[in-house]
Amino acid sequence: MSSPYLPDTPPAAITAAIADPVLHPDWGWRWWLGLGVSGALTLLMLVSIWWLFRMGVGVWGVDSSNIWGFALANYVWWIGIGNAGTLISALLLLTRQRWRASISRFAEAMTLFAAAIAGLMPILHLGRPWLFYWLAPYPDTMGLMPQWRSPLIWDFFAIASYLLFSLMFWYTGALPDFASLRDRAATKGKQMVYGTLAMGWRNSARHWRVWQDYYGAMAALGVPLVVSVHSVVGMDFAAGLMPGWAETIFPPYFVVGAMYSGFAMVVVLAAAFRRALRIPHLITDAHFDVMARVLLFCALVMTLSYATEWFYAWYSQEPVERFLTHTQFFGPYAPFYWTMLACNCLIPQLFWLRALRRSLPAVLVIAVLINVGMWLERILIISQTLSRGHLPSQWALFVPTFWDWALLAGSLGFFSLLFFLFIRWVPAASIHEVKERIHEATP
Amino acid sequence: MSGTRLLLAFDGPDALLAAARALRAEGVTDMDAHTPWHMEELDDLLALPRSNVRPVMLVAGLAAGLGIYLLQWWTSTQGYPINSGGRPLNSWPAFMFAVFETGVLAAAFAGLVAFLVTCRLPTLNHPFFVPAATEAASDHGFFLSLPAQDAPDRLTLERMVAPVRMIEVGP
Repeated sequence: MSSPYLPDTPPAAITAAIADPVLHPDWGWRWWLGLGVSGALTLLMLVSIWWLFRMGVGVWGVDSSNIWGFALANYVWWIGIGNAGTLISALLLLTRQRWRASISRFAEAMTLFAAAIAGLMPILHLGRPWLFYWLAPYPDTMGLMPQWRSPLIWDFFAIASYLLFSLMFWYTGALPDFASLRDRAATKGKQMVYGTLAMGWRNSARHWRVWQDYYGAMAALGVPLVVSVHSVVGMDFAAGLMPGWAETIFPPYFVVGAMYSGFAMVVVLAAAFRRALRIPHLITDAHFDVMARVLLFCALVMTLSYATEWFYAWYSQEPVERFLTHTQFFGPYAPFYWTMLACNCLIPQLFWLRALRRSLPAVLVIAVLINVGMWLERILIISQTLSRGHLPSQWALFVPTFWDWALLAGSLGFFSLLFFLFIRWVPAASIHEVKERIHEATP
Repeated sequence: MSGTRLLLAFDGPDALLAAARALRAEGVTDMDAHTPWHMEELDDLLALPRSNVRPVMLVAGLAAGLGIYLLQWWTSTQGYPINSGGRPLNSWPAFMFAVFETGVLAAAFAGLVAFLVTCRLPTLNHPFFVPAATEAASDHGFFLSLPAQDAPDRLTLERMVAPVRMIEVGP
């Protein structure tokens, strides 16, 4: 074996391993059970959205102090997960990491699904969501244009660009694989569907060259785009004047947080895909090892970011900043803050041990905990600041309602529903790229 | 790339590369290949031209960025000026988010169009798809494609590059 990340397998076996679960599905009851549970949760999301539209944002725990609540925490969390897919895929392509080939496809799909869900959250939070198209600059009858200095407009441009960009990047990467499925499909229907998706791709060397020009340029654009998108999310906070938000560290701090939670989600998905598709030779223990190292590095940067915030509060001697930091550690939300620090900073330190990095259950549990910790971070950034602002008369605790939890659980269900459909219809790893990397690794 | 073409099938990438090298030395031009993955070696070996996808992306990105900047400048200073706390009407640092995001999106979209136009895709129907054997190109087959009228005769080809089989593909 020439590489720890790739099997020493001939090309035909790679096509079979990745394409056959799609073309000859043999999923059994587990897939249907997963689809059913995800579908039920998706229904819960739809019901909660319907109730929100009917009754207004008052169904949530938000009030005039805690104006943001779960919707914005969910937004930041989901867009963070969404950012990692393209970042991982593009960055690892540019740095020519061989282990990218087996994980890039579903990481990019994760981006699409998570970014779509993220984009939904601020719209639901608008109050009059049906007027969200006012965010777009278009010549309307009132002669009005958006307020370009508003972070909400920056968000609109960032999410819309990112979603469309990620879709093009994902589709271009998958195009040759759709051709593989077209040529392998045995039924007329599948041949037509995948044939249309493949657009007549002939695997021609001339086409490959143009494809590479485009795909490589997209990867090079993708990295700064991801950084800019999550910087915009950080600016949503930093452009405000609230204690704990108006910090110059926010854009990079949010970018690292996004990569962190997104990588943790990729680990969870990789474990699920490896088991469901029975491809331990494509998603190997070495993959989990290297992803655990990335998580460990992110954990250190996150810890440094938190420490920088504490340092700012102390060094600025700003009374509200110092009060906020004290509230974080000892206030009403303190148990959540300590849990967050444990999940994001302390527990990932276990990845210093090689044995744990290579133990799938350990990596999986820690990755899930990181996701919990990162979600707590998002809700705490919002709730701690808004519940303890400049004006003591405005102090009020944020307490989520049933509909807050319903939307969060429902969005998770919708995310997994999309993945159950994805795994059934789209090759979960890049067939052509795995072959290319194996060829490169073979002397 | 029009006219009848001869496809030489090989069972591995190395045989394909050796054949391409030999035929190139023989003076055969206008060659193409069909391979399951992007083989970078072929780019030089077959003297494939660089596409203009990237220049198109650059121009589209710059143009869209400039366009959205002008729109922001016009609405903020001419169309609907708002004095917000005495800040300059042309608050260009705040405008840069939309400039960058729109520029990247336009570059990506223009690049996709340029990629499809350069490759003449979608082409769902093509002579290449007629023989069933070419389906292997997306799986494990390696084909070298050369114009039938410029190709050496089949006996010479057999001797020179020893393909697994030869397939003629109509115009």
